[in-house]
Amino acid sequence: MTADKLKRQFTGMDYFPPDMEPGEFELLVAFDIWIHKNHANSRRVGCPGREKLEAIVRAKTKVEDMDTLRHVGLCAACLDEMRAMKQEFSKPPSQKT
Amino acid sequence: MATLPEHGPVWWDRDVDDKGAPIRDDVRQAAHESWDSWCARVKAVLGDCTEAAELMESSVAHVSRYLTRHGVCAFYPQAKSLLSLHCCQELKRHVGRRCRIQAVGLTAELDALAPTSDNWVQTFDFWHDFQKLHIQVDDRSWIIFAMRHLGHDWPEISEKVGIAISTAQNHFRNHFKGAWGKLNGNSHVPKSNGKGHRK
Repeated sequence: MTADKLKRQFTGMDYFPPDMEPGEFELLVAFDIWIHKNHANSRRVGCPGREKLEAIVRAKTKVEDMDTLRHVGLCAACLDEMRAMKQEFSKPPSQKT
Repeated sequence: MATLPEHGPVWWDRDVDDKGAPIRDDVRQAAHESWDSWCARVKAVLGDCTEAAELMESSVAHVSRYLTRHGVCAFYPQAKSLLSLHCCQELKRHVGRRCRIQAVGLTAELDALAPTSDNWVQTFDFWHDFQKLHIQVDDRSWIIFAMRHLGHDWPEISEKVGIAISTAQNHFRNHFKGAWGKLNGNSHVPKSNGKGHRK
């Protein structure tokens, strides 16, 4: 899939942070393409598990679990799981399934 | 031997190039798919398509080497775009060398074709640069970057990383501004400001 096609997919979605600066969108899209291509980890090798990922998503103070943070930075599967959690947790209670 | 419609021009579809390096199947397939339109283009620019095969063969070898060098997976979907771009560039160079450029609108046509694929090539190179970037930046900056990708705004990142918003922003900008500039032609490189919001 080309960068342009992916970029179109992201446009209009509540996917990236709301306070992006000019050019940051392209950088994040490129990162998304790169990590899904090079670090997809669909077999979830070395993944820390849902509990630890959820702890990071819900954290309101400094996260001390550096091992998990380092893993997440190079694992598309964990990033996707955390994104899904983040979207789920940010929904108002009435929309939760 | 490859190709083509009956009595039409042919190009030499080889397994290996002049240097003995294997030629990728995806590039060869792309060449077959674009051969007819390529002949038409060469004929429009040069007046006939006798040189279409030579240009195509050298382009196939070049693109194949390029993709192999970057370790791109087999049957890469953009092989055809890349081949098309390189063919057009080769044709343009060829015309230039022979001083046969004529102001008939075709050069502009080629220019119009080039940018999309050219951007793709830049993007392609950029993906590879991410690997280098990861080696260069420290853990904290990479984690901040991953959090931005997850959709966290700066106050959230500040909480989770345990640093001031402005510090997080400066980490992000300092370490990624080179990459940022590359994607934006250096037109939107954000500057570290040290002001930002305070926690």
